[in-house]
Amino acid sequence: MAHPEDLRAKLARLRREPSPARAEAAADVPPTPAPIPRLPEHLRARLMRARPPAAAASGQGGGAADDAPTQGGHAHGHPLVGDPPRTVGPPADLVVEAGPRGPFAARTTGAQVQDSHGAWRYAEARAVDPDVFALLTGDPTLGAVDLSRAVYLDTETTGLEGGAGTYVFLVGLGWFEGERFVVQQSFLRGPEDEAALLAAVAERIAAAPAVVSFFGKVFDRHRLEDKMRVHGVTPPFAGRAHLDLCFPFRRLTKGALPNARLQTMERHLVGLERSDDMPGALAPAAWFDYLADRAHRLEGVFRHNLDDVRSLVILAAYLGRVTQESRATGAQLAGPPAQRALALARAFADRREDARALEWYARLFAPPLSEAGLAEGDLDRARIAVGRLERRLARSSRAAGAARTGRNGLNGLNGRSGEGGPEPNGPRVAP
Amino acid sequence: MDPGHSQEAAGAKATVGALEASAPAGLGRPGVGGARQRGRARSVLDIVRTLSDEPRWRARIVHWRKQPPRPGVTEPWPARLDPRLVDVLQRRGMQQPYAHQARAIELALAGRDVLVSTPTASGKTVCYTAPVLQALLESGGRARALFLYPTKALSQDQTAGLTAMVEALCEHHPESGARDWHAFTYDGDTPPSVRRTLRDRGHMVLTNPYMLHQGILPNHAKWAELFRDLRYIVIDEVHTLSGVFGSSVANVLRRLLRIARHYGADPRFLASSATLRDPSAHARSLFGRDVAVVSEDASPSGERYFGVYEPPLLNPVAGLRASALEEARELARAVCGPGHQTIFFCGRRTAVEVLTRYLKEGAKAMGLRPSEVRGYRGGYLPDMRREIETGLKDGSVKVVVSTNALELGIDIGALDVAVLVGYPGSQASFWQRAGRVGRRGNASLVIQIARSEPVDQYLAHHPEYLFEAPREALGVDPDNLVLLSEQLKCAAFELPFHADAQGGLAREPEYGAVPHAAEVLDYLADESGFLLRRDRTWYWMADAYPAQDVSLAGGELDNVLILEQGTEKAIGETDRPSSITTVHEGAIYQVQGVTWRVERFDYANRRAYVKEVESDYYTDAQSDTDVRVLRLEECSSRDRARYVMDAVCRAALQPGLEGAPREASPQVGEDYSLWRGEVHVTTVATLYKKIRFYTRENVGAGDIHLPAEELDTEAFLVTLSESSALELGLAGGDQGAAWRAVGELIRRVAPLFVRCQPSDLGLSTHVRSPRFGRPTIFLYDKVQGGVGLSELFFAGFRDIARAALDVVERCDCEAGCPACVGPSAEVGPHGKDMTQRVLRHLAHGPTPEAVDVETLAPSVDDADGAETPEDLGRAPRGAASGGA
Repeated sequence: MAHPEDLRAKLARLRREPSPARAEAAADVPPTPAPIPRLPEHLRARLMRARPPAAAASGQGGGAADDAPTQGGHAHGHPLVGDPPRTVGPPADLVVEAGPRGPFAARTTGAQVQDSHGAWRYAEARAVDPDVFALLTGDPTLGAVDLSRAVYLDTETTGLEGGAGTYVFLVGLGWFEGERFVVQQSFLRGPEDEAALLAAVAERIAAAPAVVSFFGKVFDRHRLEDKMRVHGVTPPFAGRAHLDLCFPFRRLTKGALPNARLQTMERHLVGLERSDDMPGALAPAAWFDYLADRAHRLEGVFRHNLDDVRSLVILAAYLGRVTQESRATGAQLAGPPAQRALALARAFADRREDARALEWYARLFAPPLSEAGLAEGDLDRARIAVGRLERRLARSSRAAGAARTGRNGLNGLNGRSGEGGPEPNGPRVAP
Repeated sequence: MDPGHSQEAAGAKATVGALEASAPAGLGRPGVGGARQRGRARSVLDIVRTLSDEPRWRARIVHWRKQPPRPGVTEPWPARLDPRLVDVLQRRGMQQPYAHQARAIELALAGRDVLVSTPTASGKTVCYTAPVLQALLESGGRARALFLYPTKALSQDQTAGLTAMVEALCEHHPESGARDWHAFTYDGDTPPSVRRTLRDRGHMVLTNPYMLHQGILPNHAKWAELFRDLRYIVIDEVHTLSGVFGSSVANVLRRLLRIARHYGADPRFLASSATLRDPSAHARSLFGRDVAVVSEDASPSGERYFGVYEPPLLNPVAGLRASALEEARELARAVCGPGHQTIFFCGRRTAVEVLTRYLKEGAKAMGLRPSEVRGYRGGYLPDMRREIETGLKDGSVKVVVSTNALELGIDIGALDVAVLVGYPGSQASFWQRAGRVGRRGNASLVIQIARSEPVDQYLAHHPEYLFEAPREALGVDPDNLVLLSEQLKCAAFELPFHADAQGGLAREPEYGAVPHAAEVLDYLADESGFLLRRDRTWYWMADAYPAQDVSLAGGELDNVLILEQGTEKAIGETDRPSSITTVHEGAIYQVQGVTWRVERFDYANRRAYVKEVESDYYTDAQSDTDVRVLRLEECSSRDRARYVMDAVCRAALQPGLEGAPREASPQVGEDYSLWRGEVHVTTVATLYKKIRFYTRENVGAGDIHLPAEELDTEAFLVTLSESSALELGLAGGDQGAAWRAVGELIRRVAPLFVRCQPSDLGLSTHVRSPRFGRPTIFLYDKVQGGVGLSELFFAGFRDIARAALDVVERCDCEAGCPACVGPSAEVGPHGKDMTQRVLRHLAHGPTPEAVDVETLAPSVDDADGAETPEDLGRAPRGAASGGA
């Protein structure tokens, strides 16, 4: 049996990693590891691989972290202005809660429904038309989603690639409780807490009729489901309504906003400008630092996750108002109205509600939207779609043997579109 | 030699005269060929008669051997096999199983792990389909099975076979519930949209080791349905799992068992392989358990004729013989026809295409249509491969020209005549290829065409080597520290590791007996920072997906697509390492006799764009391999003073002992040294020649401008000082062949000591290395980054050298043969003596002692360090076949 020290040195040599002694010496040199002289490229790559990215990003005082990519918009000058300071030890305000598979830790933060998040109030989620959710997602089960009874979900994980080794270390769940909007952030104090945390999360989600998330159908759901299956916890998602806001918002803003990310939507649609947000890419390092008893930035991760969960509420509220084009307060909706009209027209056409589709197309070709600068390609496609819809409508009208007055007016559009499209000020639809 | 001198084989004297006796006519499959067949049909015996009687063939075939027919031994179906299964199998033509099948099924049903190690076409498939379907019947469709195949083509082939069995069950026994059972192929081509269905509803999932390693295991939660009821792990062709690849796969299997255990399953292995020297040892190292081995083949075989064909001598002075490929074209006229099926095996893809073209063009003279002649090789698109396989099975394809792609168990039924254009390099390959012919109850013929290469020539004159010498051993070392530590990363990603009270891994049975596993985990936690140890548990703790960075080293599927320029239609694909010599710009890429010219090769994006052209030439590219020393890390050396003193003493005790110094030379300084270090191996395609079909004249050439294929790895080196080289008689000239033979022998015996395959090792030998200025042998890991083989060589060199010496000393040949130093045509008349002398010198006498690397290493500035290529690892003797 080899002596442990012998094996270590041997492994270090065989794996082409710095020997333990050299690794310690290197730790005294903070910024970046010195390149190993005369090392071929792939071996250097292997060495760098030997340092997990998170560990590399965590260097005390933040050498590498300072170079971490930051999201545009919030940083002025120095990339980490407003970055929360590091703390040591467990995050503040954690309460040990009892769950079906044992105790887990969580931080609970409440807000009044009349409180604002960005330019919106949580209470506005009560005055929406849920049919829009079904309309813009193509999922009819979402037509009955009650936002005041839904659970709002956002997670922080140790990686984006998934797989069994990716931890969900922070699960933010929000719900309405009377006149309060509560966010419970369940935190993994260590990997041994996983089963307890997941079981509690599953129970909470299973108690709600619907889940609201942003990109959660693609990401968060699967990270949780995978881990739940590993621990024998029944995943709560199958058969439960899940409103993933990412896709409807992508449709509503396509071409008008730089991307379809949550923070882009917040900034342009609901007036939320985060001042002290921490880039999500630093989240894994924060948790790894905490586990290794190093100073960590978990406080920033909690803040980021809380903001995400809260934004889900007001974005869902926004989404529920797009067919009205105004908030419950009467104020106009922010954001690109032409793209919105186009998305709604297409969505109605997909659902074969031709008359309503034509209403929205008509709006697109009338001022003020006709001056909104929609891309020429989109306009062309819209004209073709209008022609097709009118023909379809005419056929079904004939088949029904009855011409309805409201549609006769629109049939005129058909003739003109055959000659190269409607005049910008041509057809008009009664509101 | 003439047929009258043929060898005894199992008691049957195969003089060709005796062949007259029995000649069953009408060999081909029924209903194919029609009048044409009746007119021209010849039986295998007719062909044998022609070849042995007609003077032109008679002179060429220097050796005949006949194996007598062997009756099959059948047994009743095992009593516990479900009668519905028996019924379906009988409807599919299996009235009774052969004894080995019955035994394998019996063992599997009794809950044993089973390895069936019998030749090609002995009916191994039913040995695992029957138990798997039985488990599905017994469990009411809950049971699951995972099938692993070495190639995509094989798994698709088998999916179809399983589906057919399930459909037959549905049809005849609808109450079995088989309607809901599904067999799916899961590989890189599986569309993401169906993966989910497949994960949840696939009862039989057929995949390959790469997908298991990178796709399934790291995402085991998504496959929970499969793992929960995993009853069987079926692994086909386990003889392909050897060396670094096999050692990696053995570790993947450890991970698989661990995950299955997590979900509460305890699956059994059902494995099959070609005939192996020690199947149970191989299975034990792969599966980590003892398995029941079934190795007596009870299937019947018709009589089988072997002929060795020697092309005529064109230039007796140079010993140059006619090209084997041209001879194959000639021979085709005698061995191809409309009434039977013939397979040609070539060593290279280019050779396959050239011969296919020749045979298509000459089809009429053989009574065939060009469409009845097909090529078959890796790189064809799946649809085309499927079509050819079907054509072979239903008899519509009469002639197929293939690489080793048809060596594995793709089901093409049994054919009648096999022509091996050149020796395939190992006995295992030879027998796999020969096993492709021999319909039950019918005679078959195997012709081995010898090339000009020494090995082929040796075998032409010593064919008994093929029939009698022991088979090669397979090396598998799942505990190799580098492979183990990389695979433990993957395993820890999948599930945390739990230590027992003593800090060992007794609670992890797959790793409980693995030396150092717990220490490696500690290392990965403390030094590499991938894991977090809390109390007795190691958790994965990094933002990474380790399986992506861990290679299985088995020729990963990093392929180059060949597309038609303009339409972007896929024509074929090729592996990356060979792309630089096959789809460089200007290359002629051939598919089934159609020629395409490569217009553009987008190396970075792995795309080659081709245009169909009428080309009367094909191209053949050359490449150079350089080995450059990057860093020497360890050295041990023997001093001449010590060696000479020792030798003098021995000589005094045993006068006349060879190896004693012959004359006075400086008795100080270095004798020989062993080194370990890092090397950089580059293979660069240099130029290509345009070669006209048929005449083979060189009609042009071009340069190739492509990046080199690079390999950074570890090497073990032996250097011999100039004085010692002089004394041993290794002073340039043909003596270099003996030095190369030393390297080749070390490479070949290495698997006995370092558990790898010779093909895992690159070899480069120099009589005067530019870097060291003296005889040097490089043995390097042919895996990016290396897996520590050089470490084992460095530590165990003396044992390895003694084993190599033992091989030569025990060999009965006079002046060299492929079993020892190589045929004398290759190593020279004194090659064997010389090799023996050098090995004795290296293996005996005082042991080299560790020295500081700096004292002996030539500085990099002294020489540029580039070594002259003479890379035997990459281009083994006799690799080139025909064509050029």
